[in-house]
Amino acid sequence: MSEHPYKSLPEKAFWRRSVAGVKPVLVDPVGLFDLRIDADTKVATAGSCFAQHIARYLKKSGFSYYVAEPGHPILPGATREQHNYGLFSARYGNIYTARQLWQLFERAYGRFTPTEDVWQAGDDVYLDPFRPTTQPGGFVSREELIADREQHLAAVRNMFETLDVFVFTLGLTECWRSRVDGSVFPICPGVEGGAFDPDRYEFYNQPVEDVIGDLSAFRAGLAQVNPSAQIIFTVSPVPLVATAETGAHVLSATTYSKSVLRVAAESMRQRFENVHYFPSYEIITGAFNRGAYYAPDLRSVLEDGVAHVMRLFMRHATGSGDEPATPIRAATTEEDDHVAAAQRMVEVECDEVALDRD
Amino acid sequence: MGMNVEIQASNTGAQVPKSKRPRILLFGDSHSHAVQRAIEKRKGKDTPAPVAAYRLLKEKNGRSIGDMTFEDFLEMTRKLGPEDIVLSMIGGNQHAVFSTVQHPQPFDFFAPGQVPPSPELSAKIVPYRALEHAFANGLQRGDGKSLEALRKATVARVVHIISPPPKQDNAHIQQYHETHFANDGLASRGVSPPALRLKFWTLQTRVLESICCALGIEVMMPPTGAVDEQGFLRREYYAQDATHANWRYGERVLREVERRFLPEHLPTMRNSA
Repeated sequence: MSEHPYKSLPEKAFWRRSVAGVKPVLVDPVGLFDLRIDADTKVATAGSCFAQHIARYLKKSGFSYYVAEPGHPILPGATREQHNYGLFSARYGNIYTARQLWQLFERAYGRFTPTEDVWQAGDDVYLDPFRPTTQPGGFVSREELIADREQHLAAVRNMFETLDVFVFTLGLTECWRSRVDGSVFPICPGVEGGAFDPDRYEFYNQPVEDVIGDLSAFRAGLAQVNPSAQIIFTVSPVPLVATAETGAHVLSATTYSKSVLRVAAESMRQRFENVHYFPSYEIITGAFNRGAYYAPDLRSVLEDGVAHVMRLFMRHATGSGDEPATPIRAATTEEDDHVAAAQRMVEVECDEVALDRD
Repeated sequence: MGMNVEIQASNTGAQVPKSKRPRILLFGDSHSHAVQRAIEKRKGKDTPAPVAAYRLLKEKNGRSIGDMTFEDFLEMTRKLGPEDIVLSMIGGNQHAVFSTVQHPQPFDFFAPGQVPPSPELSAKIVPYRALEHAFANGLQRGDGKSLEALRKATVARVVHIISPPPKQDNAHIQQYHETHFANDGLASRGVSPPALRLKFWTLQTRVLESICCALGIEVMMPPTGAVDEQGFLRREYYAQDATHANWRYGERVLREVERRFLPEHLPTMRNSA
């Protein structure tokens, strides 16, 4: 028997030993991940709707989920929760694209001011184009919106400057942007506010080099204001609800989008010491679980899947989380009351769903 | 006992058949005290009052306050007819909880459709709709349930009287706090800006109007003569505390009730007021 490089590889390098031959709940696809957090590490989150799960688990895990914009204490906890305080570390709502993240950073430091600043949806209903669903019912006036935005961006600055770890879940490459100044929106104008105008807005599907460019610019900006900050990128396993790519099928468009994001995340990890990758995407989408982590809509991620992700996150990042896993159920296409009850979906509101509303 | 002073034809000399005169019952929390005091004053002058007013009976620090349980009042209202009227002064002080004592983290908010004064620049801005949500939640679980029970209990018209607006005079409130709450540290926190108190009262009023509308309950605003141009309670109607109105305000309410619900009886009902 000759020696070869594969002989000395660990078990996780082999499909049969680490995927096909392992109980689904025990599959651990974490590769290189050497970041450690403890109870005092201030972990901030942002990203697409899947990032809400990370925030939720951190909150209840006893670790320091860092909320820089918790809402005023005059508001009861239930109100703050319903008004999206604490959903992420600041009240920016879902940040789906790398461009959106980078522009948020630039807006927070006053280096970018989009020309499109307010959407009016009624006599006393004003929406922030860059977080249109964050304030339920909207703001009551332009002045209120702007005042809240100033507070919000101050909280964002504070968050970036004082966090220890920033977890960002990359969600989409497809987005809509202003033809005027290139500002990108979390959701297509006209869906949750604003009015669609093809002369004002254009579809933009970020190529991988743009995603890497935006993430690199963000990382450099963050390093300037917080040199010791660590970044964890994850990729959301939630498929696109719809694609606007001409002629594309939504499944293929999803594969493209997630592939770009995955490549960008890996490139960032390889290039920068303070960038890490955590494989949430692989845990949920991996064939080992035979689709069991998706709800019958094949889009929503079930609690078991989130629990698997977070169990591994805690194990690798904190050394905890080795309690027995919840058994994975067999995939089923049927719905019944029991399954519906057992497969209770996490209360996560995705802006994207509005695209497919009746 | 409640101030059960009902209009009797024999008292007033009115020749109106009793059956045509609606019975009017009032029930409330602390704000109903002003009306009860006004009724007492009228009694002293042998002037009839248009309502029988009751205050919620409760135990506080080992002593009873008020004169009737809510359940007993509901029972009374079940006997009323559609021509009768039930007045509510239930609750009404939630706005004061939010806005009388200065919060350690000063805050302010923009109100819809209101011309500035803009919020305090140094204060944190709290979104209006978040505050509205907090109020709606609190009121629906509390006073809203009582109002709903009232509406369900009787076929009579149910009218909710909005609580008196806040007082503008910070010194008056501060003095009261220093007298009563010095040990609680409330006095040292100071008093909220008057504009904030007024905005909270307006917010509460809007929420209550919405709740009442959904329940089929009419709303009666504070008597206009008791409110100044800016919307605050006029000084002559201040009770000696931070949030309540005095018996003169109660008298204003009685007059408004007479004007609104008993217009044809007015000439014979008032002989001195």
